[in-house]
Amino acid sequence: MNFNILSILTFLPILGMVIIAVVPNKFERSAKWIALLNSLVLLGLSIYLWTIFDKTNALMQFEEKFRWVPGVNIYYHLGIDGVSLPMVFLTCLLTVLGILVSWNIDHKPKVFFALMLLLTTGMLGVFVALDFILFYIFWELVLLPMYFLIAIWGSSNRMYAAIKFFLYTLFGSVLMLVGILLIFFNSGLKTFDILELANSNSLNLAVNLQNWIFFLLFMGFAIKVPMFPFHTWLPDAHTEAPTAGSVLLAGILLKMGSYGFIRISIPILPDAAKSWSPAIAILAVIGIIYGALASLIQKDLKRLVAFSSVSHMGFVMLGISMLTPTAINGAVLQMFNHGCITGMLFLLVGMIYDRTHTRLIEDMGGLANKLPLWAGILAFTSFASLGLPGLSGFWGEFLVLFGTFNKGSTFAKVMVYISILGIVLGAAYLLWMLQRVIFGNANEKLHDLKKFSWLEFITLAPLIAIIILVGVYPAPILNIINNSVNYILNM
Amino acid sequence: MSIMSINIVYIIPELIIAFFALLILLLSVFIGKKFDIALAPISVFGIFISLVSVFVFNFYNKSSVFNNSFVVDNFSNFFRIFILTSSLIFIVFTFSYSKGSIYIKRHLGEFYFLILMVIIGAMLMSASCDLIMLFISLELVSIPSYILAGYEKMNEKSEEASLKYFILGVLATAILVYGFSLVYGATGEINLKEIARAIINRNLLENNYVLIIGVILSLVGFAFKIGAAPFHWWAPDTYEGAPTIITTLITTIVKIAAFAGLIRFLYVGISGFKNSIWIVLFLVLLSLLSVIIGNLMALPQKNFKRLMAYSSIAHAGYILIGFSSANTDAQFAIFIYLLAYIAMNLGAFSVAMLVEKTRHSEEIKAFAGIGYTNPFISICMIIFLISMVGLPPFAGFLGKLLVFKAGVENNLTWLVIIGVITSVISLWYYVNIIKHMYFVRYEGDSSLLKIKASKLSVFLITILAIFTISMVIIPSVFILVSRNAVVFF
Repeated sequence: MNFNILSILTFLPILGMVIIAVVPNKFERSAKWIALLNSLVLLGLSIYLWTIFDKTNALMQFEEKFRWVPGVNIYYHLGIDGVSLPMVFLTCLLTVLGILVSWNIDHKPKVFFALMLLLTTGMLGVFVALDFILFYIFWELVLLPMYFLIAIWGSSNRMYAAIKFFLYTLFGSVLMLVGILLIFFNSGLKTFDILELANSNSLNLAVNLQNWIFFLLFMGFAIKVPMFPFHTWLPDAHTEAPTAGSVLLAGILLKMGSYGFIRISIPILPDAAKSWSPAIAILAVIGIIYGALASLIQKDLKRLVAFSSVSHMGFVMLGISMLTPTAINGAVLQMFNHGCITGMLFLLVGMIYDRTHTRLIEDMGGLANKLPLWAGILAFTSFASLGLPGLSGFWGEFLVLFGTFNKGSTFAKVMVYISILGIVLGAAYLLWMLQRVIFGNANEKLHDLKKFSWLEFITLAPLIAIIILVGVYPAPILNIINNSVNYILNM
Repeated sequence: MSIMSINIVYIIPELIIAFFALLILLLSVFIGKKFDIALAPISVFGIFISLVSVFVFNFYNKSSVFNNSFVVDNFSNFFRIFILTSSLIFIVFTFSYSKGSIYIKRHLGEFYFLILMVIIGAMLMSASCDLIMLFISLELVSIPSYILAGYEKMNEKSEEASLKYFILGVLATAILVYGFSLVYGATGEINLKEIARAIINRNLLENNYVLIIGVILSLVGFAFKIGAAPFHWWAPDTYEGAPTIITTLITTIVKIAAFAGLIRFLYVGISGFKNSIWIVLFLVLLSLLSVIIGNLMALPQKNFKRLMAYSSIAHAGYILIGFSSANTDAQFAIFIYLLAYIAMNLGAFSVAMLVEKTRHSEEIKAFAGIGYTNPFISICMIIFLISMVGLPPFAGFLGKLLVFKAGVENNLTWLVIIGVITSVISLWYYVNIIKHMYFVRYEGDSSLLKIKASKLSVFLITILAIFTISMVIIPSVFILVSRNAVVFF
């Protein structure tokens, strides 16, 4: 490798942002083209990265490392492995789709697309950073653009949702920072390097201290995931955000939390992870059931999808808490799938909102006649979301439950039984939603709906393809994930 | 030591400022109003020459003069450069501000004279190495700033600000001097290095309560000057009442000076203060109260300057966490935090002054809508405010990171946790300003919609914003400089 592909990938959006910033206001319509071009190059780079990625190698690849802050031992350290690769690809893909779905934004387009690109840098950075401080910087970098995306382009209650999102996640991440500092001083290594900390078997942290540090990190990650009971920012933020914002929130930002568990908490604090595992599992299962029940009673379509995220991220966390390769493989796959499926659901909700200007389920109905293609895709996505075999959603949840069950303990089995109830409830709210939205009598308020455009279809097509592809043949992506997960667990 | 043998070279930077200060005073008295226009450029020139002289004469010469009461070392050179550079920026902001205030316009000569006096005091403070010198330079900083705070003499609020600042300031100075006298009584020395030696030789920190009470009383005096709770009561009223340009002076240069003095006093004089549980406890208490009171009291504020008063109390608290670091290796955290603090505070105040000049209001409401009328300035303002929260990639993050790191290293994790939680709280009121900038419609006169900003102010704001970002992008430069500054003579 002669060129630093990860640095280019991470900082290319900043370049795009600067270009958009210097474009005169007269040509503000060109902002979206610049952003699209930029994100397409990113997508191309990430696909290229996927092809040159050594699939048999479980270690970090394309590493870049140099000393950044000399006195404090902070390194600029990037790298990618089988867990982060799907996330990086997903980030690039959803950014492209987010930009496409915002194509007709006419309020301050320059600022909108500049913020989208800044957000992309933050998200990509989180998945490739291998130094704690660098990781933290990217982690926080995400907050500000997302705050503005919600606060400027959101719907009616946007200010409240935006500041709630900001305060909640900042609260978690500053506690995480304290945890990071505690690791720095108490590990005896005086390093912020995630790999070095994970690899050293001689981390002489007292068990008690490890538990505390795990708790501090847990606060940061769990709020982001979000796990029950820290989820209350999510429905507000997802519902009020503009479509692109919801897609990226659900598709990528939530995964940053679970990624943190896999990349940081488990390898660096293995003992604490073991002792915390039951607590996390219980919270995860509560999240699964609670999210599903809450989805059942939602009147707002977007809010329903938001709560379904709480439920689905519960599966991810259940898988992670089990600390077995199968379960964590399932969790990582579920992260990827949930990004695709929920991202797509938010895209679909955004598209219908553009037409009907309402998100209330009771105001819809009979859309199968009016927008057959849209209704078909919604049904397809809902089936993927409820875990229909043959579509991608199935594999993630299946592996998580399988891995959990395989653990053998009664506790794990009970967890599985309860979560299966969550799947049933999931089928219930999704099917009931379909029944009310696309079947039944058409609401007379809905007339003159714009036809489903090619642009919209192109926006959805890649996700449809991925959902089917992974659903039918998950082996390629699972192999990549599996190698690295095994390696991380054996560290 | 006769007067002739004093090596004048070491105080050339201060002498230059003094020369220009007197020059300005004489010019304004004898030539009068005609010359007013030249006063600001003369001050800028004087500060610039002084800055150059620091590099030319003092950079590689390290020594102590005047019976060891005045030292030139890396520490004092760092602070001289730091103070002079921020003064340079500050003075440029006075250009346009003074045009808008009739009182400042009427007594422009005295105005610049007093500001230059504050600057000399601040420079002397960082270089002083005995108790008397510390006291004199502290007064040299304080007395002109009392006068400046009341510069709008027909404005009741300004008078109130000045009087409160003066009365409480004098009280604090009295306590400080009493503390100094006890320290002198316990050690028999006034020179900081001799004090340190006496403390070590006679093991005073462990068995001499007169010394400990003396140190704590001195700390009370310093705490007043840096505006740490519970000695902060003057700050909100003074910040609000004083002319905004003077508030900027008090929150930046006066504060650097007080911190420089405090660092010198604690790290050179009471160098083993870590061994005394009482002194450490007192510092921790100051820091704890400051971060809690500063951040909580800032929440309901509607006046920008009052808000900044509480915010600067909170920042003083964060900086005080840095004093918990035992090894000199981590002391530069304080310097980094100060650098970041000054950059973002100067930046935020300069934007506020522009807003005030156009809209004649210091309320947060006055910021309404500037995000759309003045996009560039608003983006800079966001950078300053978010930097104050301590979010990356801005300078405040680096400052907080290093200070918290020092705290965790010294087993003050609980204090750091309170520190991070209160900085989350601070997000609320800083974002409230951003909210006004972007999401609230301005309800005043529509001719005041667009903030008038001179090219020079915009240029300086840009510089400060770039500085705020670059501290995180290329931190190695700043850390290198700050680490060298920890070297005391």
